[in-house]
Amino acid sequence: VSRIALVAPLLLFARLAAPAQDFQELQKNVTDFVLPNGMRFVVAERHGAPTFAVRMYVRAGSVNDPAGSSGLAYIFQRATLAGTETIGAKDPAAERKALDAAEEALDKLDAERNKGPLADEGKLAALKMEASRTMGAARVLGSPAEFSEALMDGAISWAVQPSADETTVESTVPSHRAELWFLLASQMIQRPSFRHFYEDRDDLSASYATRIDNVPLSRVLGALTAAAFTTHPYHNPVTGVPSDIAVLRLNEARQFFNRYWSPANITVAIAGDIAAADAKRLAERYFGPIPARPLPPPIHTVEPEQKGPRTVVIENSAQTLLAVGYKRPDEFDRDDATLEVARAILVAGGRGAWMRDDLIETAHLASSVQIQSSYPGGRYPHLFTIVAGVAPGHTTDEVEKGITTVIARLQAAPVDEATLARGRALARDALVSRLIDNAGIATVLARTAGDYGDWHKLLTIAESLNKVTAAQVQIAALRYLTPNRRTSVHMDPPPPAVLPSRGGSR
Amino acid sequence: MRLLWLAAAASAAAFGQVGMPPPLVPTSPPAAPRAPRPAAGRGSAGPAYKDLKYPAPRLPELPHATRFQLPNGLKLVLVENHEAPLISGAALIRTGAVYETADRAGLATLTGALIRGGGSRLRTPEALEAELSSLGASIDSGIGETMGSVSFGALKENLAPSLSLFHDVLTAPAFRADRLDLAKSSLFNGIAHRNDDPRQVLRRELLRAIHPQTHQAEYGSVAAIQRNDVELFYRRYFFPANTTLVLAGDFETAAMKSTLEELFGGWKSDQQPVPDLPKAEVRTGGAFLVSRPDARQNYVAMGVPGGTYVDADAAALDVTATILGVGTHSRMRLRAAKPTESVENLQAEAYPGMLNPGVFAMTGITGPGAAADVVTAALDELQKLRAGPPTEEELRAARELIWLRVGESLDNTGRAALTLGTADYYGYPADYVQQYLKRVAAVTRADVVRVAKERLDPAKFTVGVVANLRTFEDPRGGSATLVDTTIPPAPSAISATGSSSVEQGKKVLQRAQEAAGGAEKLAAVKDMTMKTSYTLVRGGKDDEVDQWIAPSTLRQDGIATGVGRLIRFTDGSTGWISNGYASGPLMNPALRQTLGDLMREPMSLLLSDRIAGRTVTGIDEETIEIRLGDNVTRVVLDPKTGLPSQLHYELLTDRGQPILVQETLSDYRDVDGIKLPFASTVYQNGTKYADAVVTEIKLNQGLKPEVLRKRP
Repeated sequence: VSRIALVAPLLLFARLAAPAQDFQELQKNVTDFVLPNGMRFVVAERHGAPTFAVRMYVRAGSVNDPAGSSGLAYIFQRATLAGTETIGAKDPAAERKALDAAEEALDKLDAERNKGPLADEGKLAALKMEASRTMGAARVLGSPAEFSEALMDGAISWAVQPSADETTVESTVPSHRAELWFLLASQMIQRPSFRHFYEDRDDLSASYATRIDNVPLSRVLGALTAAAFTTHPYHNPVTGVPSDIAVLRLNEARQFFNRYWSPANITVAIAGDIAAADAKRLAERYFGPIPARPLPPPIHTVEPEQKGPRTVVIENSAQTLLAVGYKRPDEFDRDDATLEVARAILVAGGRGAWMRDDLIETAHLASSVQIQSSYPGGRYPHLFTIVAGVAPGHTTDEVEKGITTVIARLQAAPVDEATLARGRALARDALVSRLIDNAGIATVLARTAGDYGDWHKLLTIAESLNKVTAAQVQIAALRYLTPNRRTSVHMDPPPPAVLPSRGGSR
Repeated sequence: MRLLWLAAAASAAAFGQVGMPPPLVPTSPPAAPRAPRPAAGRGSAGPAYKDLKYPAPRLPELPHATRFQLPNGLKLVLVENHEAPLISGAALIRTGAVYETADRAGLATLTGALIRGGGSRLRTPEALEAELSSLGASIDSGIGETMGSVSFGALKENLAPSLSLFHDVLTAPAFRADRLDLAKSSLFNGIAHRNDDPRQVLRRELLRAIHPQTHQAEYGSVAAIQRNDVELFYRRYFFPANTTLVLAGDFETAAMKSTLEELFGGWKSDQQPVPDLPKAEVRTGGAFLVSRPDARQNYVAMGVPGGTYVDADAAALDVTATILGVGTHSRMRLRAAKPTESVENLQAEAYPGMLNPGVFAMTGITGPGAAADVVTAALDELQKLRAGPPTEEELRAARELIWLRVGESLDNTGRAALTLGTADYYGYPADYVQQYLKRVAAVTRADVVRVAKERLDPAKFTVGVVANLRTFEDPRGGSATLVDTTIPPAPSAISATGSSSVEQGKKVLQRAQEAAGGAEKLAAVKDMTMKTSYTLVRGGKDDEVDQWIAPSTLRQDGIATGVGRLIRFTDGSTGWISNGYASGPLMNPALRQTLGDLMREPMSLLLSDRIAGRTVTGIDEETIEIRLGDNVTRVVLDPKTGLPSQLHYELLTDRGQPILVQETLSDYRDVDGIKLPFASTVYQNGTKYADAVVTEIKLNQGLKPEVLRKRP
């Protein structure tokens, strides 16, 4: 075979690779509009399947939890399913009155409790009884299952995903049921009834151990943010602290919801089988009447500069895990794309990922290595986070050393062309390959429009990943992946309590 | 970059590993009685949700496809979609396990896995993986019952090199021998575990009872497959006129067409057309029982042949099954929810088939002893539908559920394009999905009663039970036939059906003896001490010292990760085991393993023709099989050096599960004039398990059997 024949197949494609505008069809099909009350909508029309996906992106997350009330933003994962003042009420007026009476009784109980040592035992007992009587009276007036049954009857799914910075309501809707979704979602935002609040709260509280404490990874990540952030609210776990959750109150949930689930603080992205004009008409009809409210302020607290590495040790015999977080700037920073490419170079794809190859394939130190370039949130300076499962027979110290060695390679010199190309391609693929179905498109549109104020940012980001240079990667590694910015959490087996005794078993 | 989070990352979920499950959606808070609701309040809130009027559900739209055929017969289905800079697709090949013979069952699966997994003529599997990663591209391959496919995904800017890799994999796979062995091991693993989950057993046996079509892969049939079988199977089916290439994404159709013409135009083959896919025969009636003493619950399924998409009644059957047992408001679910009902989890389904009729199935689970209740309950619900029509509301709800199930996945253009390609493949019109949904929409209450009467005769159902029972009395009369799902034993797994002869075995072994230094020199060795260090893939290092005295004394002393010290001794028939403090007799399966290890000690292995009790059989020019009782080791020689390069054998876990082990021997060094391997890589069930390095071998140290025999 001549050499020319060998290279020919590659040349054929020259004409295909002509620089055309990416995302053409998407750009043509996306419409955005803002209601007078400030609520933002982005609609991607796609008429394949007779369904559409919705992402209602609310800028209310655990960073907004008031002091002493961690877990408040999280509780809406369940609380929003209990219905509205009318949906789920057997007699709306009577129920509201009963719920308010119960709050009043609980206020009185709290007031007495707050007296501390001066609290009167007899009074407390009476107030407790009164509280439980009033709560019972309210309970019989509600049917908390009605809202979810209405969703189910319409074959609409509804999942609420709280995070540090925001809460997303995710739905898939059969397109002929569009109006039902607009009606239910708008009523939930405008006139929610958290009639199941205390049951939800006690459930979350009771299941905390199984959900969080007994999950080694959750404990490690909780310890990581707690140690890395001394001042910024990223300090608190998204799921809250059990002792805080146990005393959350319906009234403060109402206030929180009122303040943060306000129209101007919400972006709704819809992708799928719905005409933009219909979406607009339904949005105006159902979300339009919600009165405008002032936007809550962003978090002003600034995390003080870290002056040296921090290490936390957790004893756990179930799993040996290491989490390492490096302080990095927020997602609006120009280094955002660079750090994403750095992540891809280190762990993405199959063979050839630096950190995976070194720690897993070559040294067998780790059984898994994953990186989130942004954790726990993105709107404020956060962590470039590496999590590794330590292979049996090895220690978290060895793995941490392995990680810093790989990072040192990233810092020592600009990466070679092939590595850079690989990192860019994998980072870009991670973004682009989400834009293939309704759910993926709605998610990306919601985040770009919600965080950056304009979904077109998607195009800039996709482009910026392709423009990251080897020098930028090196500089970012030198700037951010340094001991001064590092917090490490080592989850190790406890040392043996007593010396193992010999003999006796013979 | 948070944009790339796969799930909204409240927590650990961001790391995808141990995250929390998302809440069940929609969740239903505990049993709130459906109290009569007063008309929901209106006020400023707009209409009440119950007053909304809905249009009819809309038909899904399939994308526009352009079809071409190249002169070599390759069919192209191209779907332009400029939403995102991506191209995805698949080559669909008319092949499948239906073309296998019983004595090579598993061949289609192996071939499917190896097209992508075995590298190409131009690239090793490792190089292929690295190149794909560097392009952000992906290629996968597989062969199922009635279709083979090689799928593809690439970024637009890397299309050229990605498509070139795809071409390489599809048209020039290399089926590297070591990858074949790995793929076989993983198939063995699948066979070993196929009875683990009783639900899987029930599903498989019910399908086999209704549509006996393909042969089940067994240890013997898989072991018999040679590289040549794979190569021939590939060549018989993977040729342009037997292939439809579906591509969807961000390209211009005309340019893509000419690119594909140039790229695939030279793909030639003189294969005869592949005969039409054989249709499965269909059986009805009867009852079977799979007796499982370990089953904690009774698993019951019953089915009759359903329809294909061209069957006029398929839509009505689908609606009927949905009314009976799909969704929380279906009749069977509501029945199972009653506190008086002993049956849990009653369900039904009737998805149409593409080639063969699907199965109209009703399934249920009960506690011990109540298997017949599932049959009675399911048939009772069926009889009610045969006796009288469903309500209009039931009909509407069922139609919508089917509509959603069929339509939902078409929001992904790549998947929708594959739906078009699949329609072509099975000879359906491009709009068969819409046609089917139209028929679903037209199903009437009377249709439901009619198909229930005509197609769902209770006597024709095949009833299957997997339970801790010795017998099962079919409530319809008669006893269930016992189905034995015991996996045919493994020994044949490592003995081939190829030309085997003692003569050839002797010849091959002699060659190995020559290569290692000569039989006489080997026979002169009286004992050997060998130190080995194993680095385990899952982490950890095991060290072991083996002391061997000719012909059949072995003491192994090692530290194993997670186990601690372990010493084993055998004199060739019995032995003991110890942890350094206490000891006991060596029992199976550890005895079997130790005797196997004795056989595989390098010196002992090469002298197998002189050790009593062992048989040596030739498999081919480079392969022999050594047997001692139920211990079998297959030895493959390096064709160049004549030294053993691979060992294949089976170990049993404590619970008797077979593990197929492959050792690759290398780094042969000279020890007192004898060549012995100083390195090996150990694979278990096709997955790399450890790297072993020999740190020291000493011969003729004057070891004494009575010393080795001493317990610590």
